[in-house]
Amino acid sequence: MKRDFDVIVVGAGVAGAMVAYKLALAGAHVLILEAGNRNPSRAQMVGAYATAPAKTLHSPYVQAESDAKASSPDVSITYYDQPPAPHAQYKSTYERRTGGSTWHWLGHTPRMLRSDFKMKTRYGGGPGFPPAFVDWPITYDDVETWYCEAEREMGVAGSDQEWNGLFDSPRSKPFPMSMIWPSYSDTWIAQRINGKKFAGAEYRVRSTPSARNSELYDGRPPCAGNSICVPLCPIGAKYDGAVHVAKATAAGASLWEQCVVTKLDKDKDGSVHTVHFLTYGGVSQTVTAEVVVIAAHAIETPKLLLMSNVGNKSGQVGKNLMDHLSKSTFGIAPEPLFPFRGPPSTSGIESFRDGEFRRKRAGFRVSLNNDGWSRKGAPYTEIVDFVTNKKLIGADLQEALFARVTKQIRLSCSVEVAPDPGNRVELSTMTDALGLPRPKVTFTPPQYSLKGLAQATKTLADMFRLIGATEVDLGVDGAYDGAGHIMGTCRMGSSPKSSVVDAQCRSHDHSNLFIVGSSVFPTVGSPNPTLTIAALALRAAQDIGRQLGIRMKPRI
Amino acid sequence: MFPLPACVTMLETFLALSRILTGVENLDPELGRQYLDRLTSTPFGPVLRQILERFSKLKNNATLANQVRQKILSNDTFRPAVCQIILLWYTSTMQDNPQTPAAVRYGTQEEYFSGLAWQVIGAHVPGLSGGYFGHWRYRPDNEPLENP
Repeated sequence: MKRDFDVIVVGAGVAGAMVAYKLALAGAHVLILEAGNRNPSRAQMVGAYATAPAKTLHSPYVQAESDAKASSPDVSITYYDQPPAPHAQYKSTYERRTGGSTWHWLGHTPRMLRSDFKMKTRYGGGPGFPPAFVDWPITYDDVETWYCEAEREMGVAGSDQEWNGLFDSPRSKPFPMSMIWPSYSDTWIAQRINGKKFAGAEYRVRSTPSARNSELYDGRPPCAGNSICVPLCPIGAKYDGAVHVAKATAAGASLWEQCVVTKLDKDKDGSVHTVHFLTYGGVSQTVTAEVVVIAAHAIETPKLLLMSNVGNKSGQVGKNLMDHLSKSTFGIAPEPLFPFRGPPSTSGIESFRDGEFRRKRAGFRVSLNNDGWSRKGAPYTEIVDFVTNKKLIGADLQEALFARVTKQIRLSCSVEVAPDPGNRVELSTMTDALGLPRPKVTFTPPQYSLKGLAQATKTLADMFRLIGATEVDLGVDGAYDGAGHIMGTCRMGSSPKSSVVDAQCRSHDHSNLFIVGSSVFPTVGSPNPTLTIAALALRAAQDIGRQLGIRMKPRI
Repeated sequence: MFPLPACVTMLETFLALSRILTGVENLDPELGRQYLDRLTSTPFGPVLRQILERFSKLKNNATLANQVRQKILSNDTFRPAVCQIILLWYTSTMQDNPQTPAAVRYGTQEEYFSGLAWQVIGAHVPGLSGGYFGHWRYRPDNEPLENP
């Protein structure tokens, strides 16, 4: 039977865009279906951000029609149907638009470690080790060359000297660009903590690899340090998924926006060729392809599979929703460090990501940040305080502001979340503007991860002590923020009985259905997930091409 | 010194007062007009008129800044509006309702990108560094307090 397309990709984020680009480049007839819309011009978005009353993740992207018809938790956190506080909350959100949530990501691209792929074998078996931890069906070595390719495609700046061999995780190729320079603050802190030890590990400040240009790369300019990577790079120096959407369409892929996929049909032979979608006007349409790729991240992907009753013979769809537990802590340095300049974070500490302690508690990354106490309202709250309470004006006000704000430090952590089948996405009885079920989300941080969060907080306290900070604010014990790293819900594994996709991101149940993106992560380690998303998507594209009998372009 | 000319217009009085409050001499008159318009159209409007009237009666001499502290800033009724004037020049934000200070509103893009607070701390307005790759590695070129 003649299908409309060789491949339909559902979702125009970084994973879908990578797959579409590689297959279109190889000659496949590709369609991308995107629920959201494309953005207005970058200049218009910067203007929207400048005038927005609250500088939220969504503030540059507000568009009435797509916000209503392809709503998301970025538009309104109540898009999630989840038990109200005091029940624990799932706090990470996403955009539904062309290019996906990479529009407002920070751009950090650390790799997963060798051990992150083998948690059960490496650390399992003892008390305190969550039983849902599994090994990936692939190893670091299986993914390593794809990491290199993802770094080249996205344009990653980093220091090979600092990162090659980290925790037995070697690099076979150098970063495409030299590192994003550390901030004045990073260097000052590094001088005071490098080489010192805490909990058996040694502090070492490293420049964080980032999909952010340190030179002209792929037609995009070097970073100018405009400081609002989150929610929007004003000049396109930071990579986002729209880069590969444009490459995919230039290679011949079709992009249909404002098309909200509602259902996948199973054929009698178990294959999935037919995709139903709704336009914003409510018109239902159908399109077919030899291969269907779902790239709608870890919330909308399981939602679609559950709505379609597809790919879930294992019963695992929607289960093991994860994130990273994030926490910000604050202090005042003994001298000016000049925050509010450069990317929001340029360096971090990797020393606490791995070790025998992971038998009982989670590993974590530490980030050094360049945004002062902006999360506590700086410099607005200081201005109000100095004028209203201290009655300062003119040069006195300037001196007080300088003395206070230039010394503000924020240190943060990002803690591994263990898989737990009770943390899950289901279909809500509540519906969106198109009448589709909204995601019902249940999430409670595992004790394993809360222990990691407690240890991370102690580590941050020790760092503040070493640098002589005052007015240290470690926040509330056990309190956490979302990291924006939505992962899990369609776990990869070898067994069809216990996992949703195989090592190639192919559905165990339907041989022509692929799932790409962070939903396939069975475990997550502590790194930011986007580079792994891109690497796995590129790897899956190779297998999809092979399945279609397409000769893929050779990798560089 | 912030010489107060024999000013007669409300805008000129507002600019003269703003120079003393912000500590910045070369304020943009067009921005001043926009901020004055925003202020007068809010609940701050009536008290602003009182402040400007009080200011215009101060002696235009070397003690003017101290007079502002004593006659205007120390007045509990005036102080929220004084703070609002400074917030506008420093950040372009407006507290629409003095009773709910957390609810702020920005003005135009031009106003946002003209915020003075960032220069005071040796930084730049978020979204527009005007700098080169890697400038954040060093102390700021515009070391603060040098005539922002």
